[in-house]
Amino acid sequence: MNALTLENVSYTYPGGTSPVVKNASFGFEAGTIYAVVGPSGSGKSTLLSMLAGLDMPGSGDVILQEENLKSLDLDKYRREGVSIIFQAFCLLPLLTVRENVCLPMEMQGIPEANARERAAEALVKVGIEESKHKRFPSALSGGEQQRVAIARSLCSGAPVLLADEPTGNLDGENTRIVMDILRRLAHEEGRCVIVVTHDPEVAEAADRVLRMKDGVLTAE
Amino acid sequence: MKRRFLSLLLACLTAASLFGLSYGLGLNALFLREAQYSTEAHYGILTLLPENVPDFNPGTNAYWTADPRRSLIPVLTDDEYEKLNKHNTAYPIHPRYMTLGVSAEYFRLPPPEGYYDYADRLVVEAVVQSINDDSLQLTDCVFLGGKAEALQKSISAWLSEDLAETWSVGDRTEFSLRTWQENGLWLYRVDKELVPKGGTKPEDVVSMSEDNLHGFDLVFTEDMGWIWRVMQGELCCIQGRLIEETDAGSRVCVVSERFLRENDLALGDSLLFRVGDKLCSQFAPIGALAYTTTQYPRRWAEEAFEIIGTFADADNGNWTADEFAYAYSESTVFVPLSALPETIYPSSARYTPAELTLLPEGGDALERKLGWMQEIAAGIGLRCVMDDRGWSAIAAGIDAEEARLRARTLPFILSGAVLLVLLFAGLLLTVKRKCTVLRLAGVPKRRLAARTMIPSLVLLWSAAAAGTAGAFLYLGTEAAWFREKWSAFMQVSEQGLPMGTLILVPGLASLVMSGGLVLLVLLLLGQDIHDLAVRSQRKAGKQ
Ligand SMILES: Nc1ncnc2c1ncn2[C@@H]1O[C@H](COP(=O)(O)OP(=O)(O)OP(=O)(O)O)[C@@H](O)[C@H]1O
Ligand SMILES: [Mg+2]
Repeated sequence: MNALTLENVSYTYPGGTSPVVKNASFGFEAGTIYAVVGPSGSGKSTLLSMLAGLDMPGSGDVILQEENLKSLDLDKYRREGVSIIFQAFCLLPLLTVRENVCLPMEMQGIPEANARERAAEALVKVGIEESKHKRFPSALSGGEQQRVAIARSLCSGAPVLLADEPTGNLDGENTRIVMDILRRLAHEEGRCVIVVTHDPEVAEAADRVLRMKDGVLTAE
Repeated sequence: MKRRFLSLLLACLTAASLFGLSYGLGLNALFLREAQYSTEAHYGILTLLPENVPDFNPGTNAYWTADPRRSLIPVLTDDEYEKLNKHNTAYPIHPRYMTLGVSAEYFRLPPPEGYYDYADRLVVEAVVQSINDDSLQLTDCVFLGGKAEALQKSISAWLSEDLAETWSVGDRTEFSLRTWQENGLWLYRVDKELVPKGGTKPEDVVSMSEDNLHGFDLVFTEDMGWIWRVMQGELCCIQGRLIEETDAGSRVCVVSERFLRENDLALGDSLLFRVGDKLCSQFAPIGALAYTTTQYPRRWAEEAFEIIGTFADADNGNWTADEFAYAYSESTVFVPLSALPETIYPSSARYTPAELTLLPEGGDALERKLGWMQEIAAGIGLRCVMDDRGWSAIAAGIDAEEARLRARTLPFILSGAVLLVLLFAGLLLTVKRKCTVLRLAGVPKRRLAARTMIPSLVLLWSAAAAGTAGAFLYLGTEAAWFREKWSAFMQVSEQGLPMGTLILVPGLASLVMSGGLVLLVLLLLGQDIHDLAVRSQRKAGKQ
């Protein structure tokens, strides 16, 4: 069973003349890390937004395990099915690292002690040591901030992790660290990780590479 | 923990900025209100005087023919009174009246040396010895009444020509003589009162003459401070105090210092007067009332007045005979207007007060009102003099203090406003980011709205409440100190704090901020989630 399946998915922006994603079909498996590459404007982010449940496909189906996205509540899908990794920008500067990670859990009504435990676990998993959990994001490096953002996504326990240019602002060393973490999440925790990137180094770190060109998705 | 601490810090900063705003604007509002009160409560004193005061020489013949007191005093018609009182609500007319007060115990003070006093009169029975064109020689004079010291066996009295035919040599009859002293000599002039044509009974002239000797000029006034001579500093208080508005309803009086001393009286002593009903002008330049048959009171009321102060007039005793003076005689007794007995002061009657005082209100309106009054007064042959009671100094003090306070509160207001804007911008930014993150994480809209808005609103309003309470308390402790300071140059009120400003300013600021916050959250919740994601992604890309 695929973690996430695309079946003949097409998408045209409202008012657009031609589809940006054309008839994409692919089965994403659990325990694998995928890289989606392609020239600018080819439709990578659009594809990802459908996977993330930010948009419904114009035609075709997105299927999470065995459930069609059409029959699911999109909020619930984003809460439990997939998790989006933001860039570091989305950390709240006035909350500590741990509070940032806890925030979505808190909003979902998870008890504070429980949430903290999970946050600490996730942070350790992405290599942020205990001593930094009470700092404000501004006291961390860019790479560390990105890892905190990953940790925040992890906590939801979603089977699918999505990231659009997660290393866009990072140097080579930090890119490698982040990719290592994502690989581990795929391989050790059996998650399905899908990363959109321009960076060949990132693509290289993935298990499989998918190519977008003029809205057409092809697997290598 | 850190988060709670930060929230607290933010709340404190918000409270502080709202405090700054509220306090700064509140202090200004407090002063402006006080300044307005002071302006409105300030009144000038506008006195109406005769337009022309004739040169008047008691030594010349003019003295005998023209009684300046009567010609000077404007007898106001109802119409004129109405005109003067046109702006009555703003500054009612405060008249002063004079009546004769007869004391059984005390004598009227003799006028300054060489000065004619209508009060002194001698009534005798005598034989006409000879008649000339302008004088009458009397002999065998027998005292009937009046000034006993002036009695002599033989008297030579001036006579006006028209009376020359009235008597023949050898007639024995009653004579009424006005009398005064010059260089120690008594001089006399035949009075018309007992001319047979006048028809006055001798016993009436006798009692009138006696009353005049004991007659005092009772001046009924609301406030001696409104008398032009007092304002000019020419009539001063020597002991105790002068009649004030607050004396209304009490039986008190102010007498001349000389009267007090010469009669061995003291403050606290009482004077009993028979108060006559004939009102006359108190603008009596030569310091005496002439109670003739036409002016003589018909009804009397007996009143006792306690002496609360004494006065002296700069002109009393040292004026020259050629000088026309506005001085009140030393036989004047000032009493509260309210002490004018009801029988004498029927409220419907229109009297002929000599000096009218008007109290135009509103410091900043005095000039304008003086202009109006001058116009009206000129039509009645009066002129206006005004004492603005130091308004220009008050106005200058208000202006200076206003500038000083503005400089003092500007840092509070500015820093409060700037801090508030910064805090608000920060709040909006945080809420925006939080909303984006949480919506993408799948938090349902309703929960998201509640969780982002409620804590911020609670923080905002408790901060506003704290800031306002702080400003309220702080200004509350300062207000008394400020009022004390302001009272040095203006009148201050007993009003409370400017609640409107103190509550409205932070309230409005909080309302605007709450509105902004709610609007932003609603906007974010209404926004397409895809756009939200793309926008945040794009922003991240730029970092
Ligand atoms: N909101 C939108 N409305 C209309 N057209 C859009 C919108 N967003 C993207 N597009 C268009 O859709 C096409 C695909 O855009 P998309 O953002 O998916 O490209 P991408 O592959 O992610 O590019 P990049 O590598 O530069 O991020 C582009 O031609 C873009 O102009
Ligand atoms: Mg893109």
